[in-house]
Formats: sequence, C-alpha cells, structure tokens
Amino acid sequence: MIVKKGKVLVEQRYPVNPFSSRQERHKGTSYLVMDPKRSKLAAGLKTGLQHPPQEHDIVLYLGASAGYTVSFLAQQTPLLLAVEFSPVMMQELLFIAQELPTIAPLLADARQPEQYEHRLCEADYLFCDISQRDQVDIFNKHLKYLRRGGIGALALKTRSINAVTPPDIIFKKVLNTLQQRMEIVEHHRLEPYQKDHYLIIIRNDTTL
Amino acid sequence: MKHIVLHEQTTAKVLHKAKAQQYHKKLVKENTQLTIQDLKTHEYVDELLINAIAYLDTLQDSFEQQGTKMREALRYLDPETAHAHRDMDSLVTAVRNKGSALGKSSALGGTIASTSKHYILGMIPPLLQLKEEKNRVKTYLEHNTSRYLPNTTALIGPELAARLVQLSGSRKKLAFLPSSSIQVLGASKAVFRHLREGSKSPKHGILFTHPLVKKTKDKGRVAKLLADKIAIAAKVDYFSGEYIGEQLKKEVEEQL
Repeated sequence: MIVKKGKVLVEQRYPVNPFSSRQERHKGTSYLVMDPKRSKLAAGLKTGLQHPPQEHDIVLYLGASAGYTVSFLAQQTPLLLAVEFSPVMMQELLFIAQELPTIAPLLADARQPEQYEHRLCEADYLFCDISQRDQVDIFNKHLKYLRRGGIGALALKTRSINAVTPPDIIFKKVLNTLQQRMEIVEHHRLEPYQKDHYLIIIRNDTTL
Repeated sequence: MKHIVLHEQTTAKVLHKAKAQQYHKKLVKENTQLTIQDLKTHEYVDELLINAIAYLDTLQDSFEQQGTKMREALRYLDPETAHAHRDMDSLVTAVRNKGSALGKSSALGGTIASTSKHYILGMIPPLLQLKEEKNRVKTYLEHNTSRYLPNTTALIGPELAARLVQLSGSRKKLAFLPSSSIQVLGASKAVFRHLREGSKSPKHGILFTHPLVKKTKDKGRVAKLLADKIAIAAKVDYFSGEYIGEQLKKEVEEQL
C-alpha cells in the first residue's frame, strides 16, 4: 500500500484508515491510500519504480478513466492533462476535477492527437495507461508533446495486444521496437498486483 | 553588481512562475468547458442500446424465476392449469384470465386456506407487470434498432442486432469487424480455447439463435453466410448508406 498526505476524493477500498491518528483526523489531515491493484502507477512504485512523476512536473495522462490515479497525481502537479475517450468515465473524472483545480480534462480519442493538440501544452511526464491493441502506437504518437529529456511511462497490457502469446514474448518485442527509437530507463513487471502488465519508462531524447 | 544580477534573475523566475500559473489556469478552464460541451453534445445511442438489451435479459430472467415459483405454488391449488401450459407466457395469460376462479373446478388440487390462496393469487400482478415491461422494452428496441441499424435489423431482427452491438461494444466496432469475427461473436470461450489449445473452432456464436441457423443441419455454412451479410449491413448502417436490407435478405435466401 502506498500512503500519502492529501485530500481523499475517490472512494477508498479501506474506509478505516489505519495510518491516521485521532489527532490528525481532528485536524483534518487525511492520508491517501493508493491501492496497487487499482493503480498501475502504485503497482510500479511497489515493484521498484525509480522515476515517478516529480513535483512541479506537468503530466500528460492518457486513459484517465474514472480518475483513480489522476486524483493522486493531481495533488502534487501544477497541471495534469487527462485524456479519456469514454463519456461515462469522463463524468466521473469531472466530479474529481471540480475538487482539484489542476486537472484539465479532455474528452477525445487518443488515437488522433491532432484533433486536440491545440488544447495541450508541453509536458514533463507522459503516462500512458490504455488497454488497446495499438497502445504502443498511441504512446509513440504522444512523445512529441513531451519536452526534451522528459520521462514517458507506458503501462503495457500484453493481453490487449495478443491474448494467446505469452506476455514476456510480447514485452520483449515491444521493448525492442522502443529501444530503436529511444532510451529505455527502466522496466518493471507488475505481476502480483496487475496480471500480465509491464511498466516501461523511457527518456525522451532526440539524439537517438 | 553581482547582487543585483541575482536579484534580477529571481524576479524573472517569480514572474515566469506566475505567468505559467496563469496559463495553466486558463488551460484548465478552457479544457473543462470544452469537455462539458462535448459531453452535452454526445449522443448515447450505443450505450442505451446495450443497456436496453441487458435490461431485457434481466427482465426475462426474473420473469422466468418468479414464474417458476408461481407455477410451483399453483400446483397445490390448480394442478390442471399448471400442467396444461408449458410455456411461461401462456401460463401467465391463462392464470390472469381465470383470476379468482382458480382451483374451483380442479379435481386434483389440495385443500388450500383462503390466506394461502390470497398469497398465490398475489404473485400474478407482478408477473403481468414484468410481461408488460418486457413488451415495452422490446418495442423500444425495435424502434431504436430500425432507426440506427436499419439494414442489420431487416436482416436479423431487432433483438439479435442489439445483441451484436452489445457483444462487439459499439456500432463502430461492429462495423469494423470482419465477418469471420461476427460469425463467432458470443462464443469467445470456444474461440480462445481454439487459439490456445488448438481445439476445433466454433461454427457459430450468438447467431445460433437466428431461426435460419437453428433450423438447418449445416449450421456452420448458414452462420458463415449470415455473418457475411451482417458484416455488409453493419458497415452500410454505420456509414449511413442507403437501405439495402431487403436485397441482402433475398441474397441470403437464394444462397441457402
């Protein structure tokens, strides 16, 4: 479990928080509990992620969904651009965005960034959490909105690419294609928390 | 001198930060407004189609379950009626027509106290309501599918058309599916078993419920043929082409 100070916005799976003392609850400080089974970023942190989004990083988040991870990230970043395709999920995200003024929600298809690029700004951190067959393409398409030297994180769901091939073979293939174009900083298998998922961290370097 | 330069730098930094903050605020505000606008103009066609067909499923389930319990109770009061109507729909209609005359002319029924009879008769109105609700949802589905999927509906009927949308996810996804995928839509378990373990591929998925497929001996061939035409119909529907439903239907019947 990852614990952090902040506003509790998303319904917590463990309602009684074991970490806050009575005094703290009285003062109004609450602790966020990030469940690695629900958030791939939390799962990455549990498996030894060295490059999480830093404070003052502008984050571009693809596949924001109902905003579980977004609600944690938005409390430390100056700006979080959250792209989500499903209107029903976007409704949930907007309820969170009402509370957190740093979230800029975008209802759009991440396959066509040209359609909303005028609504973006240069990001320091790119997080891609899309469970689609072409998730790697989508990630690649958004690298141009990442500043030079910025960090990109790809949460790879191998089951979306091919349900039959073993996950590690797909992962190696993806890693090879990414390696030709950019510098891979680290990669993690999110196994006990997320089934058949990998987290790949790259650095946006135009020299490669 | 050095001191002044440092000071200038920090002012520039503060200014820059304030500007950035202003810009971020503007970005958030405009994006939120645009997103709300997008949400307002979004037509929930697929979502409601899928919801309606899933709602129809639950209605059907609860109708059958409650009806079974009613049939069980009816056996003690009027076994002849309970026995005569195998189909749940006709049983409910027969019971409604008889009303409180139930059990009066029965030869095999037991002795039932008046409170128990009230209990059994009380099960009927909710069943009738469920039946009415089912019909309402069916007419809604008919209306909506013939509006948004005219060709597919003409080919396979409203319920199956809505079912295909439910299984594929949306009209767009259905339109982009190849006919071989449509043929086995709804048989995902068998498909993945086929891919993983090399067992025989399924011949049909949800298309099995279509009367043409059900009737014939050569189910694989008919399902393939039907899926072929559905793939065409779904594409024409999605890109809102002209009405070719009847023509496709004729083609299917000719090739049978």
